[in-house]
Amino acid sequence: MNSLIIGQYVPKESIIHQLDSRLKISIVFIYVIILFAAETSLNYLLFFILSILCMSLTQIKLSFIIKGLKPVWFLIVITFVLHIILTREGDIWFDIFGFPVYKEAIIKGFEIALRFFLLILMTTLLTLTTSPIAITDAVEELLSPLKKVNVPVHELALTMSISLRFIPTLIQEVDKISKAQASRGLDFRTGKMKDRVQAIIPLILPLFISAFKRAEELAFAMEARGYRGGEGRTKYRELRFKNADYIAGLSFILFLVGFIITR
Amino acid sequence: MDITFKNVSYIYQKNSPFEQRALEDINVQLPSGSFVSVVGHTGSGKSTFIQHLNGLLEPTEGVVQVGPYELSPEKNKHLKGLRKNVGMVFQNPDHQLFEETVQKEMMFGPKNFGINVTGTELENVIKDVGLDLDILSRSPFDLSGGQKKRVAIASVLVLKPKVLILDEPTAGLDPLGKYKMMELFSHLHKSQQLTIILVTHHMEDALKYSDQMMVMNKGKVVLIDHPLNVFKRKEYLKEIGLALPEKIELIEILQKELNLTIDDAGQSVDELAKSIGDWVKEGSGS
Ligand SMILES: Nc1ncnc2c1ncn2[C@@H]1O[C@H](COP(=O)(O)OP(=O)(O)O)[C@@H](O)[C@H]1O
Ligand SMILES: [Mg+2]
Repeated sequence: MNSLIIGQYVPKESIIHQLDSRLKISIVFIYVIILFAAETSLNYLLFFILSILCMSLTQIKLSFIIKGLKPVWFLIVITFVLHIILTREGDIWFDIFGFPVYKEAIIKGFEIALRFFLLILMTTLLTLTTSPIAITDAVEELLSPLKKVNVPVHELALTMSISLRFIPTLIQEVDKISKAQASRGLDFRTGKMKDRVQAIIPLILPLFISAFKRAEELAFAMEARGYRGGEGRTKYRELRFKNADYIAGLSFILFLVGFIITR
Repeated sequence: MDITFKNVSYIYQKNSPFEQRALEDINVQLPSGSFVSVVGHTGSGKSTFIQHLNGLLEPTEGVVQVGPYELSPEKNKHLKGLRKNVGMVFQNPDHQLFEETVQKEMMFGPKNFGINVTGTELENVIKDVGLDLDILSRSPFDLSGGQKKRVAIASVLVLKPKVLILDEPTAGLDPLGKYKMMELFSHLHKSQQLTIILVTHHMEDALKYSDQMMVMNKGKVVLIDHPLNVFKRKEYLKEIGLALPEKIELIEILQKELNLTIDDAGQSVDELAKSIGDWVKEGSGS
């Protein structure tokens, strides 16, 4: 239950948590892009060191992160195995039960698995250490140049933050509804597939009805408090760069330089 | 059905940074046929406690015994049988109503448990909860809050449970609605020997209706006794953030300020008013 941690936020006071969310998003964005430009093993080593360093700075227990990525480990291993099976060229390295394994396949498979792992790890670290609100604020600011070409950036960000805000509420709601129905004998874990599909209706219907009700109430509440769009709206939480942000930004630039040199 | 908790602990989201110990070493025995009020500050573990009674939650440690059914940290079978006997009504009826008509809504449970319910039985339950028969053909979504609550209760009662669990059932009702609802539970308790476990914030209700009161604080059961005895521990109750019933508070103030000689002995408000009146007429209150 709840074992996947992708997208979860764990509030702590670490350096990484306190970094400016715009900086964190930009760094992860650039990291992900150049990860696909990595070639040499030194490149990968640099990425690896950076990720591990960030991970250890978050103050979140290593075992929690590793366990939370369990389903991802599975995907990584599958990718690796598929690569070994499907690559049919280059030098044969050795045989397993008469099945030739190519050297290229191992290297390529390992490379892709590592990339995949680093990618998931770094994006997970971002969401683990940044509150959904901070992420939305950052997205809104980073995308604000697009306002000039009439992209409704504020509305998009608002939609995103409302959705994020209501995810935990909806999860709680699902919990309550499924308990209320289970108390009346609804069983959606065992039985025939047809019955199990039908068992969804008593869960989904109350959920939808309450979600619509909530949406309506929220709209009224926003209007009652004078909300009228993003025009001229000021912010309560202002994002501002601090010393730690400059240091972090500079370190990342050093990393980029190192990456280009070792390529 | 007798209910026994033996060394029961419950931890939410175990082995994660969000780990939360909600019950700690609970040992209680609730005899069959009793009316138990569970009180405690918000977050003291009341809802967690009652969800163990029909297997919605399974103990992290310890054993829960409800009649012939046993719940332990290992995989539990027979949950369906347990749930058939232990009915649970949640605070918000919107979390369970989904059918087109009240009649279908009420047949949802019996269908799941494979129970046959005759038309007369259905009508009797509707009358029991104080609704009119023509409600059966209406949509549960068009009803008032109080009516929805009654339909939700009816949809559980139609299963003829032996234990009825109510988690803050009167929250959000107007005073008259609250009173009627409590009278309904009291009636069910007396007329059908139903064991009732009631989570409530109303000390007045706990005092008036229950024969056992279970006080929780920070995941532990700190007091379990007859309400009159529980309310003798005034200082302690205040310390853990619980109020006293107004009636008891009044007696306490009168005793302190005017040397009232009447004690709290479970009399009704009317009886108390009368005896205080007599006491004043005798000229003692000066
Ligand atoms: N689904 C849950 N996940 C994590 N913690 C929970 C959950 N439900 C309740 N808790 C926690 O368990 C404790 C007891 O909660 P609860 O049993 O709901 O108390 P009460 O009903 O007395 O208000 C609280 O600290 C609460 O925050
Ligand atoms: Mg509760």
